[in-house]
Amino acid sequence: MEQLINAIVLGAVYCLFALGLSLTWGTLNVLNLAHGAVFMFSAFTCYLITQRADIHLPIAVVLVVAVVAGALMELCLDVLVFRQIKRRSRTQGEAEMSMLIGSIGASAILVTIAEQLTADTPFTVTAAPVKASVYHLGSGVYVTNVEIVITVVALVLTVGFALWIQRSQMGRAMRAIAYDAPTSGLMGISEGRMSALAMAISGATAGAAGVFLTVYLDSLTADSGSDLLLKAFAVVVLGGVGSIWGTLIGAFILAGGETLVTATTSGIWTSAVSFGLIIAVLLIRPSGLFGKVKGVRA
Amino acid sequence: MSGFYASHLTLIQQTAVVAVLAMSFQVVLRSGVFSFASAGFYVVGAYAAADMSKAGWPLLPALIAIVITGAACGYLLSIPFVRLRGLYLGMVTFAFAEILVVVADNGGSVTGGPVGLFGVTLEVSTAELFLIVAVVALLISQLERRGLGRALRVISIDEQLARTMGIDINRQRAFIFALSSALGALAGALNTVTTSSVAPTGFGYNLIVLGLTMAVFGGVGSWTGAIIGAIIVTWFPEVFGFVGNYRSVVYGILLILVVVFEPSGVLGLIDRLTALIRQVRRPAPPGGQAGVPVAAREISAKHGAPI
Amino acid sequence: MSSRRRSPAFGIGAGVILAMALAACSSSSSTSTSTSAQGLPSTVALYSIQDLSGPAATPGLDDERGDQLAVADINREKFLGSTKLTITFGNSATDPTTAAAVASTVAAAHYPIVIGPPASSTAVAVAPIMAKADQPTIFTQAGSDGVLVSPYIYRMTTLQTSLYPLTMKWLGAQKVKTVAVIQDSDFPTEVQLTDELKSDGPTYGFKVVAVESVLATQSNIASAMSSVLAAHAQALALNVVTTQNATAATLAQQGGFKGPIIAEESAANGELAPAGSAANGIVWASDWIAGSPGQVSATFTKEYEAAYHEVPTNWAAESYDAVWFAARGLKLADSISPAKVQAALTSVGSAGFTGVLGTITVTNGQETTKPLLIGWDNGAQSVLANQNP
Repeated sequence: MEQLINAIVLGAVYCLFALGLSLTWGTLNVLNLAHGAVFMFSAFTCYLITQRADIHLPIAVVLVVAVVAGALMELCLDVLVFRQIKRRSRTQGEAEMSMLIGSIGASAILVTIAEQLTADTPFTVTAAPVKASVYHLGSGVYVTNVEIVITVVALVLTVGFALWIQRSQMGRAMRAIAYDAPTSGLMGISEGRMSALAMAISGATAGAAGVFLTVYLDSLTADSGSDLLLKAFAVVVLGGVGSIWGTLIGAFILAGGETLVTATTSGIWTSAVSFGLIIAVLLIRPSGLFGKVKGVRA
Repeated sequence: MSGFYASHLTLIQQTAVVAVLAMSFQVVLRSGVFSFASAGFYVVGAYAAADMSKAGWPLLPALIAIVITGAACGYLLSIPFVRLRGLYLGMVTFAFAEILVVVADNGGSVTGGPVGLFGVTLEVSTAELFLIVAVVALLISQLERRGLGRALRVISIDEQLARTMGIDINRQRAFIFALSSALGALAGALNTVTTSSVAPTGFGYNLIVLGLTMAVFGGVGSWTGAIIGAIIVTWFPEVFGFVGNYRSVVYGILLILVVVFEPSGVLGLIDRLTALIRQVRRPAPPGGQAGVPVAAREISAKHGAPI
Repeated sequence: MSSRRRSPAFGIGAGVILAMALAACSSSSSTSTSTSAQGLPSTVALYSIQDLSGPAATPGLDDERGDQLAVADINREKFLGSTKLTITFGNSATDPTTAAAVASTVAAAHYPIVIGPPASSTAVAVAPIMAKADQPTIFTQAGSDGVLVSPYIYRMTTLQTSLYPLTMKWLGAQKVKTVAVIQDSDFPTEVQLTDELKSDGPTYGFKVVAVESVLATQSNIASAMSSVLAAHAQALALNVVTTQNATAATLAQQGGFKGPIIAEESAANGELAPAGSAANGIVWASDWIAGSPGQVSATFTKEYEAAYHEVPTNWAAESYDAVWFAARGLKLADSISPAKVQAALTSVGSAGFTGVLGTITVTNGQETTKPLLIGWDNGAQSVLANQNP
């Protein structure tokens, strides 16, 4: 039973983190490998402010700082790197590969800076550790307020986001760009503005995830982002690229699978679950559970 | 010069080993097949070399066996996956590479678990290493020139056209997948025999990033690009040592610059330079299109870019 | 097509040779020490390869400081008479490939003694290269197999597997019958410690009833900890690295666990601080912390704090002792010839000497010192009063 709570919280964590990745991959056809670094660096920015510059902020303000930092970072990535690549590329495939490599470069920059400034030791977002309140539910089952907040925020954000994409005008504009950018451009939807928006939202979710996770896990290190990034691949592939509902479901399936393997075995094969899922999904149903079929299979 | 050789022996040997890895990435990327399976076969080749060394195999038979097995397994693996396009093939081959790392970690006495295997007695000399690299490069350059290479080029540009020309796309892709896998296995084996040990660190995602950046940096258009990329990436820390611990920041910036301004990598840059020099020496031939630089036409005709 | 292909390839070939030539000119030349066999020259240069960046940067940077302090002290005390020691540092960046490259360069330069990096991965990459060159090398930490591969190689850190029996003895004295373990399955030392716990536990009166594995890079260990707690053992063993110690302690407290918890050296040096009160009472065995008994220990701590404004860790202490070990070897050998230095180091080691870590002996290249029980309470680590549970 406790494991069920663990699985739900883990799923919420994966979902929050993978949202941004799914969005940019689905809308902009860019696999942003710097997403993990942005997640970490947003939390790192909070560390710099609260502990290096000694400006003490309440956790709510820290959260805002991280969200803004994350949004700005991914926005810069879009404007300075991705957009330049798209402008100069001759084919779609070349653009995709180049953007992938560009995001690797960006990730290296962010991770190295954080590594050096923390001497590779763990860092927290606030100066004093955030103490979690524990609620015991009987027979060894418990849940903490941090876990509840993460789960609620992840669900609210995901559902809200899914509805926004489906119902609002901006959301529809973004879906149009994802489907056919040149034609949408002819119809007056600015690809540049939409891609900036998508990246900003993606960065914002990464920033939020950064703060929540640092509090949940006590601290982060400079390479905490890469572990999550690999899991996010599985979430997005499973759920279907570009589908918000898919990301949600995929996150919980992955979390459930991993928790099940940990609970029933000694845990040495847990990390293989995400990779096994990727292979299985791409073998059987490459578009994932909810993904669009276009551009996946020959 | 011999002092330089002795003190940089490891780097020189490493350059040769990663050159093979870079070529394994280059051959598939050039053909538009986003396979990272060579990183997975690198793991297989690395451990196979260690285990074969312990079992008393001599070097050449071991390497040949590893290459053939890598090719065969690569071909088999390609059957279910070759239809996948673009980043999806990348995803599944990445997952394949990572699963092998987990297997290596939990592999008991076959892989030595998290500790890995030490004291590999098989050795390879630097001269032999360079010979192997030369043979591989020769093989690939022949492929590029002959029919297969051209077929793959057409496929990567326009599949419909390729089909119309009677090219069996899936079989060609499977072939190049198998070749890449074989080269990955070879690179892994060579790494084990040059470092005398193998451990489950540095495989998987990091290895893919390494191979990818070498191939793209140098230029995916040809095997020469892979070799250039291997040299640059391996010697980068040495040359940029003065930057100190922020080397990777410079590395990241360089990556971004290359990918934004010259997607054809260093090869593309060299082409541009040579074409420019040629243009300066010889003005445009009569009848050439005014305003269209010869360089641009030459580059897109020759190299194209990773697709 | 073929004529156009040839010129870039040619140009590339030329470019490559040019680049390598440039790198050759810019690379450092070999050491300035003379190769005279008798007596020590006026300057003896040491080289220290350390993991100054990457995951092992924390011990690596401490090693660098310990090395520097030792060199300064040796010179100030004129331990080698009129000979002065100098030391150069190279960064292996916790990357085996970089480490091998640096080692290869250093080995070709023939320093009298080389100090090696702390991470097992880099140490294992450096060791064979030093062994092949018959290069006297002294490692600290670097606890894995594949390091002591030659009589020219020494390891000046007591192996954790030798410290662990004291921890197990303490646990036995707590009168617990069952222990559940959480371990990093991809970290050889942790796995070895778990194995020791399993095989030797019955000697101390307890047995291991559950072992859960996570990866060292894994941040989310909640479900693994839940499995561990579900075994309802009377005690917990944390064989995990860095922050996972604090996370595990927090999760144990949240899950209502109240029994004794043992850890290993990764829990030292403030790693448990984020866990707050959840970490009170955790015990582990170490070779040294600031505040350990001994005159040399106290002097070293005072000097280190004055020089670097922070409390020294056991890594700094070990590396300080390692350089002193090197100096003693040089003094006994009265020569920088590798064979003589190696023989002298072995002699000094078997005779034993007093360092920061107390009485130190080195057998077959491996250091042994007396283990100490350390406890964490109220945000600080201290040597337990009762060292004989």
